[in-house]
Amino acid sequence: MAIHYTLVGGHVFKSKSLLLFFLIWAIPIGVFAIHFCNFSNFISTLINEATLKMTLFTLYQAGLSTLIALGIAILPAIYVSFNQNFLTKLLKSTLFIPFFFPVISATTTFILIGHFPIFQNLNFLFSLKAIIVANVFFNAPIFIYYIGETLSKTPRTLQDLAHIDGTTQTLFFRKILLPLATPSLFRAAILCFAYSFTNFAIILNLGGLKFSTLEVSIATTLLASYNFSTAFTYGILQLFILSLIFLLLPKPNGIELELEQKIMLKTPLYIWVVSIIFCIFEFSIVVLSLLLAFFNFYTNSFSIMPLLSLFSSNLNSQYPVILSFIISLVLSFIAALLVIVLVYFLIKTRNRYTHFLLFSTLGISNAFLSICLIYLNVLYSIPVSPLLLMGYIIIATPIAYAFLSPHFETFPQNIIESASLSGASRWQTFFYIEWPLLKPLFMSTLLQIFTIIFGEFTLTYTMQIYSELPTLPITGYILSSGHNLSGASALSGLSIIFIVCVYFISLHISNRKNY
Amino acid sequence: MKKYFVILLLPIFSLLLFSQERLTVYMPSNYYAWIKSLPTTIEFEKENHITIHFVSFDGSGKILSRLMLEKSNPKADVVMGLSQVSVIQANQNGLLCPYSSPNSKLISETMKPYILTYATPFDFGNLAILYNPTKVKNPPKTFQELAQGPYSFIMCDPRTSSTGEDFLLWSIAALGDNWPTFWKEAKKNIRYIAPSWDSAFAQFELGTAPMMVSYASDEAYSYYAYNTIRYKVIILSEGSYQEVEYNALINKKNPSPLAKAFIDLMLSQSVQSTVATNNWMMPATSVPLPDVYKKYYPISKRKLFLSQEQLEHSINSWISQWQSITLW
Repeated sequence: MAIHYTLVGGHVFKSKSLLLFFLIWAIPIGVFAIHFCNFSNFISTLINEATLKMTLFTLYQAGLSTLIALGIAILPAIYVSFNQNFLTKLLKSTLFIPFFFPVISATTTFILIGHFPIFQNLNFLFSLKAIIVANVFFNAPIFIYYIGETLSKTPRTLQDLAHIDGTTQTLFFRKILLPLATPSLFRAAILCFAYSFTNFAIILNLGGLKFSTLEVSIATTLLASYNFSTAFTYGILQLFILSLIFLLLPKPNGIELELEQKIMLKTPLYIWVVSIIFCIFEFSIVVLSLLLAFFNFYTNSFSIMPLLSLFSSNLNSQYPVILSFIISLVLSFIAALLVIVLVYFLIKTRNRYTHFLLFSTLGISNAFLSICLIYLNVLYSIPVSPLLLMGYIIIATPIAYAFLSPHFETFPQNIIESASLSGASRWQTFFYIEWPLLKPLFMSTLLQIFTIIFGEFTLTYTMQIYSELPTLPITGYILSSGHNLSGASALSGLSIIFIVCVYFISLHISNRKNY
Repeated sequence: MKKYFVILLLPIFSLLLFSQERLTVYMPSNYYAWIKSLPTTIEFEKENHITIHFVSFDGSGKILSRLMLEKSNPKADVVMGLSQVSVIQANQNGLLCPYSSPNSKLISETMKPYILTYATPFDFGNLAILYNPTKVKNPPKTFQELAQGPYSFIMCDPRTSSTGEDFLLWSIAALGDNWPTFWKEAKKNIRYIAPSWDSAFAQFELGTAPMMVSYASDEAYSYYAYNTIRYKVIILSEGSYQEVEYNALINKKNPSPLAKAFIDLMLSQSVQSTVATNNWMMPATSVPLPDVYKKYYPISKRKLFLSQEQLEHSINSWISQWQSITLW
């Protein structure tokens, strides 16, 4: 048995970068487990009725959010697949929402919308409705991206052949396109489920502590009940459930269908209408978040004063807005750079375990991870900034891998092989072949990972390092909870403008793909 | 070579020469800006050639959590703003160091029973129901009316906030064994359970609910901040429950004498006189209160009390019972 494990372990970690990534997250969690894991408490917590109810609620809200997101996104996804116009571009650009739009900005906007009389009458805020709507807002674009990408790459010859055989448009969609899109749909559903399962800020701000999910309970148990052993159990339970789900995740097959001509199906009017409504829903939240930056709640009028006051010395003496902006900027850039380097090596040395091991880490609770990192500070006095960087790397690496690896699948390997046969070293191959060709891709992914880290909230909130290392999202939260709602909105708006700008620069760079 | 060596060592020596002793103080976020910028605190730093490292946490529960995590290697010297329950839990876990401040003699007679061997009372306040008079015409007068009445309210989570914890204790002190019935009935009226008082008040100001569980000093605050009684408070007729906030020394191998001096300083008149209009709590010592308190601070004749023993033995089971009634 021991030999078997050694062999498997040896194979898994043949990739040194995979071993490094594993150690980055396993060391803090392992150190914490050594000190706080209690087996009898582990078992009693697992079989506790409250744990069962909480797990079921977490599964329920994530499942419901995924189903509704799918229901809402399916028609716009079809529209994106078979049309090329301004609406298609708008629908495609919603992809920045799940990955880059700051959760804290969105929840602040949802809270303010929830106070509009119409929504107040519906008792929207602090209900399951608010949680589901916010989850759908964030995750529906994932379906559009995955389904849209697959269907739009279906070769025109398939349609022509089906047409020759006398297949109707509906039958062609049902019998050919839908089966083709199923793996992508499944992949999108799993990602959407995982994001809804682990989200923290949405539950905390829009549901309140009344709605406890596993992630929220981990944070509450760690920060308020001081029961580290119980929190450890919840963390392991969450990791186990999501790892099981990620086992179902279909791997990208690496086969690119050569597109001679794109399929253009005539989309019915109702698909167009639903797509427009979807766009309005997604962009109204984004635009409102921006407008709220200029809204004064006390005078009920628009003003740029809250935005300007963010830079005032008076506000900055109480809330370090400028300092936190600089800190977030520097930390996010360093972390993004490290992530890109790590992911490059992960891709170059990938094996059949890489995909599963990387995506399983999405199941690690951010709250739990942050307390494990803080514990390293407590035990070994490691400064909080490298610990926070470690946390950012753990969070962002699977996403960066998901962004970069498909491009490596289609990279012309014959050039690398020729270089290798000509005696080029690994570094020469990188600097003279891969880097010039992949530079736009690396740069755009770097910027995209930068924006994800820049808006990260849970890790820094749970680490409670605001006095030592204030980051921008936490300063926004502190402004919001400290009665300064106009300041919080202005900061949220400013963050959105910054993130959207960086995101679109990254898109612009990625369009310059050299191969 | 030697020259470079000296150049390299110079900054290290200068750091050692000019580095000041550091005192680390853990505190709730509402203390942070206030205590840090107090002239008395700044003067204390100058006089003793020290730097005080103030570390703020989002609620007193999170402070205790960090202290538990740091049990084997404490980073803080002093902890401020621990609630009655947190201070018991901290002591039970051996986190605090016994200390009797010479300034304890300044503590008012009403607060003397709250002095502990391991913690010093810093301030106190009475819980009350804060309401918006434009929306609530007949505020509830009893716990039963609060639970069954037409108005929803916001409260803080007893697991994460001392205000929430004290509201739970208030209901237990007022209703005795019938407290679970109150929570079962009140469940439908609880609009939002906030993680901290700050976020609860932010929601109250936004109009999320017309009432919230807060402090008796809020009416005085309203007059002081807005020069008008924007919000009113009512103490339920069952009686008032007093929340006490403590400062304490952290149990370290060699507690710094300056940490003790800091605890003493927090009981000095110059600090205590700023409590009422900064933390909106009553000072632990007998300093004069601002006029606004005389006019707008309701006082209940009936004082409710839970003994230290009751708290020590039952708080965990009360919180888990509350959790199962309210959250599930």
